[in-house]
Amino acid sequence: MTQFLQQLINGLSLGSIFAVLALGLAMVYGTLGILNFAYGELIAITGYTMYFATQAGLSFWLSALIGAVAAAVASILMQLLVFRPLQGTGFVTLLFASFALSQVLQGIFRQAISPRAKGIPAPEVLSNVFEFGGLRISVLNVVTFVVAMVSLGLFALFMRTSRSGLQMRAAALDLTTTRLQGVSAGRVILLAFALSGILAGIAGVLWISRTGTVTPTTGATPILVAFVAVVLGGLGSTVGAVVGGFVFGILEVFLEAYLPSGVVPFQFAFALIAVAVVLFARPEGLFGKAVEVKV
Amino acid sequence: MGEQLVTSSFSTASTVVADQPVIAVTSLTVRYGAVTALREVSLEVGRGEIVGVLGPNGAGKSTLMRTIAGVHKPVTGQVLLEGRPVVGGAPEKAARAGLRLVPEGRRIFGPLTVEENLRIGSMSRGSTLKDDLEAAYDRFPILGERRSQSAGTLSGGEQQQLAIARALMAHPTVILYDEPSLGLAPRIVDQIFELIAHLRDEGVTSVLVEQNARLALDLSDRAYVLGSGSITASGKSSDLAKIDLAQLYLGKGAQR
Repeated sequence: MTQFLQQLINGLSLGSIFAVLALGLAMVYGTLGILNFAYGELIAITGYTMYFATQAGLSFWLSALIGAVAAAVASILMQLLVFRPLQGTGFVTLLFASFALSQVLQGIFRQAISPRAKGIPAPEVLSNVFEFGGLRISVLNVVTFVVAMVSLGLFALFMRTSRSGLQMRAAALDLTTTRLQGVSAGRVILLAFALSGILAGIAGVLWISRTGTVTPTTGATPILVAFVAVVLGGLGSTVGAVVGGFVFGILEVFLEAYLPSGVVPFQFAFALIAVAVVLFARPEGLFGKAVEVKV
Repeated sequence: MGEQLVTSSFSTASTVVADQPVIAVTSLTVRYGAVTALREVSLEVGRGEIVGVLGPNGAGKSTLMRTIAGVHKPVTGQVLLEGRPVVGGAPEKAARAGLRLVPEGRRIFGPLTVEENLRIGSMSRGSTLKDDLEAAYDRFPILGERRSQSAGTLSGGEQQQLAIARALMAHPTVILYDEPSLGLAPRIVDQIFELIAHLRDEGVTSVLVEQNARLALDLSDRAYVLGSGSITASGKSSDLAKIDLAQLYLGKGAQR
């Protein structure tokens, strides 16, 4: 039982990062109908910004803040410089453009910075562990969970109560009809990229705090995780993305804990198989609505 | 005004049009890939008029409305709204210039509440939202009762009311109604058409697209008949009403 609770806590912590990650990816999909595969590079940008900021002598916390802002700025630039010029060219073109952007950014990290991992030492306090009824809970796990939940809460509040949030919810349902009400598509899409970038930045800080390093391919796992969580939750559903993130995070932790040690290295593959089984039963995902083709 | 209408709404129309038409469409051609949806369509809508656009399924009526609203980019020709060109592919601009499309199938935001739907309708305006909401609920009491319900739970007639109420939130100068009678019970259709007439009396210029030609000719001052992307007839609605419908749709009796 203690073992189970211990894993549940670890799973909730990891799952909360996945939830923020997936929500950021789902934001852009919801309004623009594209999967931004360069989303993972926003995590790397957060990491490199944190690396350079800490190298410059800034505190970890300030570096984290700057790192998150950098991801938001980078996300906005992706829209302005890459996706906006390609507007109206169709789903496949935008998808391939996002793949290309991802590769170009990884190339830049490799050539301009270094192909090797750069360390970002997290403060000692984060690795402290306190014991509670036989459970070992790290400060990092608690901080991660709290930061993620507060972010998700603020995001929900923004979407539900603000004028811009209402515009974005409407745009995600039916962009043309929303524009026919006088809502500027350019503004809504830019706002979606900004929010997507902020969420990527927050998830990025939590991710980098966990890994402690950044490499040119740091974004590979986060984008895969976010993509799986979004598909699991149901494409186009922000609630689904968050739930999908939690489910996938908890699943991964439990597989790591309970699989026979010989196959633990393949836990990620097992998690993906489990997701495939869910999607076989519910092709539209946990919260998705019946098949909806977005063009 | 009433007097003039009795003598000839055609001349009324032309005097108003001479003033400046609210909508002026000149030789509009719209293509979807290789398919030409509209071919050299021209029409004018004067201030305070109700102009009908009739025609069979697939004649291009919805394409015409959506092009006037700025959704589609025409290959040739242009749409002038209050004398200013409508930018094809930027419907938000026409919306801000005071035009509203009540789209075919109503296109309300089903998962959002009735009130949220209305709020989105007023996005092109600053604030003054509260009075507008009260006015909408006065006009459509059923929407007031269901303001916190999700719009998707409304009946077809209620959804049509919501679509019109949403358009009115913007205080538009012109409303394009695309098939407002579609799928509604006759009693509800009468209510909707009374409302359209009433709104015209309040000064809203209206374009009414209908497959149900009789209904549209009863309500409108003038009408255009579209057949496979071109205008095949036009004139005073009372004159067009005398012509056999099949003939109208086949393009006979054209008065151009």
